[in-house]
Amino acid sequence: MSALVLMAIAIIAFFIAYKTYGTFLAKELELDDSRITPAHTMNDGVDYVPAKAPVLLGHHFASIAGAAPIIGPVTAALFGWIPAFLWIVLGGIFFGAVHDFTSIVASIRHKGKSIGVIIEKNMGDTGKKLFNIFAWLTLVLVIAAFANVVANTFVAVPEAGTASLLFIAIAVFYGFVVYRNNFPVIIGTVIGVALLFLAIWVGVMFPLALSKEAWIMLMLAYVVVASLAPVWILLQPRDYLNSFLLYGLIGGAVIGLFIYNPTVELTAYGGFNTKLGWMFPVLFVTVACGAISGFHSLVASGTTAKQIDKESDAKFIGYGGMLIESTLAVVALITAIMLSQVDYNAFMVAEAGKAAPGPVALFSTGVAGFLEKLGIPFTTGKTFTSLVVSAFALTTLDTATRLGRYVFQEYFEKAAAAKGKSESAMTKFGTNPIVATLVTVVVSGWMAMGSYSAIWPVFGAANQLLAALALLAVSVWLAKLGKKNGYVKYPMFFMFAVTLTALGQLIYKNVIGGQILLSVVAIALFILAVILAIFATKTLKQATNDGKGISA
Amino acid sequence: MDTHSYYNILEERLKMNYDIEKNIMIDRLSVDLFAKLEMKHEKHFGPKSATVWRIENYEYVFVKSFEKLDNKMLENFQEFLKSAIKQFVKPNGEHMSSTITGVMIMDNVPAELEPIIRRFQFRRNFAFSLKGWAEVRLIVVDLHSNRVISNKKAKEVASFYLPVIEKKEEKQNKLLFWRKK
Repeated sequence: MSALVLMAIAIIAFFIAYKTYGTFLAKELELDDSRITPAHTMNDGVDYVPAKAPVLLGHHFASIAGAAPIIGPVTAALFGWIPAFLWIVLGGIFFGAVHDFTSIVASIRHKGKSIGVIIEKNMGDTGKKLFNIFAWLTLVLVIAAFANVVANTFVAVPEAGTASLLFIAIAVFYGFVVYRNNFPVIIGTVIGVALLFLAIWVGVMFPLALSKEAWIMLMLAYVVVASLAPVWILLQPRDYLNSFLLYGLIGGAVIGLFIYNPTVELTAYGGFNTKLGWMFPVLFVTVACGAISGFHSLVASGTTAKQIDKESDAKFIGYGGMLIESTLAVVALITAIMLSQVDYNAFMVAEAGKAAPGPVALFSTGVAGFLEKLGIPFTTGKTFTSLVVSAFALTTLDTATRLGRYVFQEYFEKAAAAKGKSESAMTKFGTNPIVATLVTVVVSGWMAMGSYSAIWPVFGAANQLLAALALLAVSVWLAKLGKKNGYVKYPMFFMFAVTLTALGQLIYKNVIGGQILLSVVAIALFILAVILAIFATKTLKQATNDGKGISA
Repeated sequence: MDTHSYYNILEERLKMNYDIEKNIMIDRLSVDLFAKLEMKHEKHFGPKSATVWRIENYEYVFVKSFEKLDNKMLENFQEFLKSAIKQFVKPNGEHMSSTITGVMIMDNVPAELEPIIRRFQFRRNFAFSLKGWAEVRLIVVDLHSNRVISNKKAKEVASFYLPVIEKKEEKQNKLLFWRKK
């Protein structure tokens, strides 16, 4: 069967869902364009600024899309392409897009406040504190998971390792030349992009073969420097040049996919119990951002909601944006399922004493095949794709490190403020930015040395738990307003069930496997999830019984 | 155009984005008009307090009229602008750049001083640019001939300080401001 059939099914399903289920949700949420959004009522020209829907969709999508919708589906294909495909499509329609859409609307109705504030308002200070602890653990997992994935990629595609190091140098050069010395932006961009392609060529000619541990150490060192250095020197020019690579990759991959027209070779159903674990719940936490992602609620509520011009735009941006990400997830899945089981295992299953190349290497190989149809040499295409995906993973690493530092520092600041001990040695230690960064990175680095197949599901579980919390906050808000909330409540129950079951299984597996740190983190998340679930059930029941209307 | 009219026009142009003070003493120099611009770019994730990164850019504009100008007076003003860096610029991890803009207004700019004005440049890095940098713009406005003589750094904003701006230049100034924003 042609994989394009799956592509077509997914796109048609998403389109129909947008027109029908999306419209149903919009009616249930009572979107009303005559109700003025915070972007207008609180317009400050800084954070609250109305933006046209297509522009805002671009910003929103750029913020939510990362390496995860590629890594997750490729990994989940181990269960067979049917289960993975069904969850991406159905999960995207009934869970992920609903989660993103309702998060934006809830935030709009709470003056553009983030989901954390909504949780605090509807579930109290305890809920907020637990949420913050959970946030730091999740960020540590993000760093560990992505560092591990990228290290495996550079081991499997050493050409991309060389190109990636050169990319960092080119970004710094660009930052100094354009920002510091006022070199014209357009000419600088042309030169910068040309240098990137030169870096790919150098990478192909001089691949850098290092061990996985060496790459992890290098990346963590890079992340420490990048998270402390001024953004105009590295982060901004890197992200700016990255965007050109991404446009090239998306354009080339989509066109190449249609010309290549791959056939589905992988097993349709890989069994309920695989090397990753049981299909329920592991399939769901593995696909992660391809179907639903808790991080989206932070983006949706923290930034996007403040720029929504009119309420009806929330459907286009929230619901539509997630469906676009699910489409990307289907493309990623196709690069996996066009391989035979043997070839797939060669990428994804570790052999004795040797880590598997991993999902990014698999995705890069698939896309390189598509690009070859456009006349791009295979090795160049593979290096290019690996570079782009790893570059986005490094962006996530950088952001997660900065946020992890912020959460770590904030914990000590608030604890000290509560006790009136702002000058204690512990407070000074905990609020020091270098200390906060190093603690976050060292814990993550320790975990990252483990196996990818152990880390990714725990990260996925944390991400899905965050989604469950966001759906919970929305459910409670709707219940307090006396509105029907089944379309968020039942997905929330499902996500809690998935997360708790997954964490329970992963704790057992990691304890048996001697992955101590991962076990401790998973146990902490499990306890947190149980407390929040009980807390939430009580709050939900009370809110439903009260049924009082709360002005939003 | 007379000096008073020019000041009114300049204040009107600056007040959109700058905080303005008039007739103040700075470092023993009487400054007719002082304008300050602060631009802060931030990225948050979730709540506003969760700042992923932050960049600060500043501009300090010192405007003074002169009845006449000689080499010594020009030199003194240049030294004043350099010393303003010490007084106003507060380099830190989030500071990216500060621009000191000195604007001298007079009826007729002596021709022999124009090359000196154009050649003037001053830049200072803080912690090898890791805490940003400061640069000085020098602008001399000739009211009589509707000209602006500037150093290289000030070329990008020179037309903003013209007494009479042609429509095309007005559009370019707006574009320049929004592009910088």
